[in-house]
Formats: sequence, structure tokens, C-alpha cells
Amino acid sequence: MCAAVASPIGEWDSDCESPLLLECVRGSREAWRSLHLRYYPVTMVFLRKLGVSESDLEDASQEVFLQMHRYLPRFRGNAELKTWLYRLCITQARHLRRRRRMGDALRSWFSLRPESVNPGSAGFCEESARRRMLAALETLSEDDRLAVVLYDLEGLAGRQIADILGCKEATLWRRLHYARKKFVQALEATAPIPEPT
Amino acid sequence: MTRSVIPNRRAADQPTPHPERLTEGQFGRLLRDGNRELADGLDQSAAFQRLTERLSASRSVFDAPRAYWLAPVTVLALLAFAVSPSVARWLRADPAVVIVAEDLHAHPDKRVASSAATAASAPSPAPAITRPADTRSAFDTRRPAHAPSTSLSSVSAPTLPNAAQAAEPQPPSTPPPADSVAALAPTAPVAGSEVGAAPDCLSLARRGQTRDAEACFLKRAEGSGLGAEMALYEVARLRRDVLGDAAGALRVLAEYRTRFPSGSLRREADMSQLELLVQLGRTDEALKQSDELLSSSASGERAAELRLLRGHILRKTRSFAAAAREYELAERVRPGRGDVTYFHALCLEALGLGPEAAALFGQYLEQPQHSYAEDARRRLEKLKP
Repeated sequence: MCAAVASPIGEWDSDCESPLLLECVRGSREAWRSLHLRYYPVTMVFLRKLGVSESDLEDASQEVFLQMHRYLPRFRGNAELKTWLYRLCITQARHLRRRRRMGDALRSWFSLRPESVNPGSAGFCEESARRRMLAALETLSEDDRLAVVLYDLEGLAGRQIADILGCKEATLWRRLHYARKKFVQALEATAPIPEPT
Repeated sequence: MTRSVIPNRRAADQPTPHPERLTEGQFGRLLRDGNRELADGLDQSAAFQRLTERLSASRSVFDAPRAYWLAPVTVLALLAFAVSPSVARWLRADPAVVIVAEDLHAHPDKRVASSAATAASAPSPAPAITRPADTRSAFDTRRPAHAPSTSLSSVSAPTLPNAAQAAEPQPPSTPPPADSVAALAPTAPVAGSEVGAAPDCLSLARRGQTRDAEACFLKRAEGSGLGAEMALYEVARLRRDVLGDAAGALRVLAEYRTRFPSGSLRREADMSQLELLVQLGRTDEALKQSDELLSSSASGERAAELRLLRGHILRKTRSFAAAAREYELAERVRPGRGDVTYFHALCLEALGLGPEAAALFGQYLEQPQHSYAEDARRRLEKLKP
């Protein structure tokens, strides 16, 4: 008997994931709902960390779950479902970034003013932790950002991240080393300016 | 050409595997706060609704299994399911049960108070409750009368296995408390429940079409506002009281707590969840959750019940000292609750503190309410030198 499946919000037992996935593949709406309930917050938060804008967030999350729904029957269970979910999110964020770049290019072509984000501006000094964190992440390249987000913010193990990114662990540690330096510098740059006494 | 190497400097700047995570370092708090803020404001239910709509629009999503023989079997099963409540009612010759709110006498509640006030002021309708002396939930058409109720009032009685002594007696059956909703039932039907739930869902439940009622409430719970809140809570009650699906009820309550963290039924949801955890034997979680509830500012009016429940759990796990402490605190919060004194005395007796236990048994027997008087007297006699 697998009690954790019946309680998707509480402790998640990975042994119980398989029967739930099986139910999802069989077309059980309740199982699908449980799966969504479990992974929706993970997906949304991760997509936000990858720089997906609030206006695109809901669509991106839906796309991720559509992909999951479509390809779930082919999920072999070699990796954790969460790892697969991260990959889907990364792919989706890449699509959106590409689309956004194209949109920026078109706007600049037609002399429209693109949306600009200046993470180092003084306005960020009084922003919330969320804004400061996202602003610092914006200063990183895509690969660096992924390394920092997955290791430092999502708390994944090195081997898992290397698996998700498709690189060797040694490469990951090197990349992470330099990415974290940049990230910390960016965080320091957005630190609140102390009030003059 | 000679290359000068400064080993220490290079070593400090070299990538190292498994470095300490930034969430543990200088910016740890900022990053943890940022992480938490990113998870704010998510409406999973609405998102799921939109997703299923999109899936349904794109292609057939939740395909029926391709076993065509299932179709007639399903129809027959549905027919049997639809007819079974009527047959069961006919066999039992049980008059119709009217739904009333659960026995909340241990949970002071505005709705109960308002329903009682309404009952007192409005002219009484024809009495429809067939079991006026029964304090069980009105949904409870299945559970036998001797089965442990899930309301905290029942948990506070020794429905938990007795850890002090196996010989501990069961309390004699007592009439429902004066403030029980069931006691007010003829004049207070459904007043609390109908605040946010549609009458059609309730009527389905009344007719014994529990699954339909559950589906109806679930559909309603997909919305927002107080109606959705009430509906979600009703689903939990249906599962707990009628379907006997404690795990399912727990799941729904957890969803409620996630979706409506400051909902108007939050306290009820917290308490119900606690009871279900106890019912499912997840006592460690129950202790942890009750501790959290006690440390929250909203626990004031429930502190005595929470202490009592914790005492029972600890007594069950033979942690008599800790249990005694909880009972003592419960007595302090709400003095004069006879049964608490009795359980406190049992713990002291189990700890070998005979004189103290005897004093408490004596004190218990002097109180106006004592369900375990006979046993207390017997134990007092034994403890006397």
C-alpha cells in the first residue's frame, strides 16, 4: 500500500511515483491532478529562476505539462521525474528566450523601444529579495545561470546537474566556480546602500 | 622563460567540487527569501483547470481504456451504484437523515454560534433528525455508532488505545452536550454548511449519492472565494465521515491549507487534519503539527483541546511524563475539565507517583463532571495506604 500517493502534498515517496505515473498514463484525471499539484509549484519557481517573464510564465508552465503529458508514456524511469521536469523547463525557457530575442530584434528593427532591465540601477536597492536574486541571475549567461540555479538555488547534487545539462561533472564544477563569482558580484552590486548617518 | 607559480593563490582560486551552497553563505538569507517569494501567489487549482481545458481542446486527453467490453459493465456498475443507497436505506428501514453540521462543540465556531442564534430566534421547523441523541456527523450514514468519531471531542475521550492500563474503562454513554449542533439539530439544520455550498450538492449528499455529492463539491471547489473554500471543506468531511477515506480527506485538507492559507475555515481545517493524522496513526506528524498550532497566535481558544490531544498521543506512546505535563497544561488553560484530571492522574499512577495520583483522583471525584468516576474510585482505593 502506497500511502504517499494519496497524499501528494505531503512527504513524497519516490517509490510511490511509479504507480501514480502509471495511473496518469492510463488516463486517470485524479492521478494527473495529483501530479500537477505536486510539480506545479516546482515548475513555476524554476521557470521564474530561469528568467521566464511573468507574462510568459503560465504559458510556459502549461507547455511543460503538455510535454509531460504527451511523453509520459515514454518515460522510462531511468531518471527521477523531477530531473526530467527540469529538462523540460530548461527547453521551454530556451524557446522563450529565443522568441524574446527575436522580438527584441524586431522591435529594434522597427525602432521600437525594447523592454530594458538594468539590474545594477539604484532602484534595485530597495527591491525585495526575489528581485535582487533575479536581477543578479540576469547578469549570467544561460549556462552559468543554469549551473547556479540548479546547484545553489534548487539544491541538486552535482551528478544530477551534470546529467541534466549533459556535461561532465568536472565541467560543471568549473563552470559553477566562475558563475558563482559573477553571481555574488552581481548580488553585492544590488546590495542596499546604507543610510547616511 | 621562467614561470613563477604561487601555489596557495592558485589553489584558492581553483574550482572545487561540491562547494558550499550559496544558500548557506553570506547571501544565504537573501537567496532563501528570494526562493520563498518566488513561490508566492500560485493558484494550482486554476492552473490545472486551464491546463485540462487546453488538453481537452487539443485532443482527447483522458482516453477511456480500449476495452470495449467495459462499456456495458460500467453502465451496470453505475446503475448498481445509483440504486444501492436506496436499497440500503430500504433494508435498514432507516428514516431519512438530515444533514447537519458536524459536532463542533469542541471547536467554538462562529457558524455554530450563528446557527444556534438563528435556531433560538427563528420558529422551529418540523423536527427531521431521526437520531437526536446521536452526536455523529450527519453525513455519517455508514459508520457504526460504536466506531470512534473523528471529532476532537471524541478524540479527547479515550478512543485512542490506552497506554496507561489496559483495564481503563470506557466512559458510560452520555447525552450530547447542550451546545452540540446535533442537540440543536431540529432547529438548526445545515445552517453552517450551506453558507458556501450549493443546495444541489447538499441535496445529493442527503439522498445518499455520496460520490455525486463529492464530485459536485469538487467542481464547486475549483472556483474561488468562500464558496470554493466551503466546498473543499465539505469534500473533506464527506470523505472522512461517509466514505471512510481518511487519507483522501487529509489530502483535501492539505489542498485547502495550501490554497487558502488564511481562509475562514483554516482553523477547522487544521484541527480536522490533526484528528485525521491521529486516526491514521501518524502520531509523530500529529505531535509536530499540534506543536506548530500551539505556537501560532491563533491557537488560543483551542489550546486546551490541543494539549489534551497531545496528552493522549504521548500517553499512547507511553511517554507518561510528557503526557502528564500536557494534561497539566490543559488543566491550566481550561480548569475544571474533569476528564483531564482523570487522565493526568492515570499518568502519575503509571509513573509510580501514588500519592500525587491519589490526590488527583480525589480532586477528580469532587468535580461535577466525571465520566470515569467508578474507575477513579477503584484506583483511589488501591492507592490508599
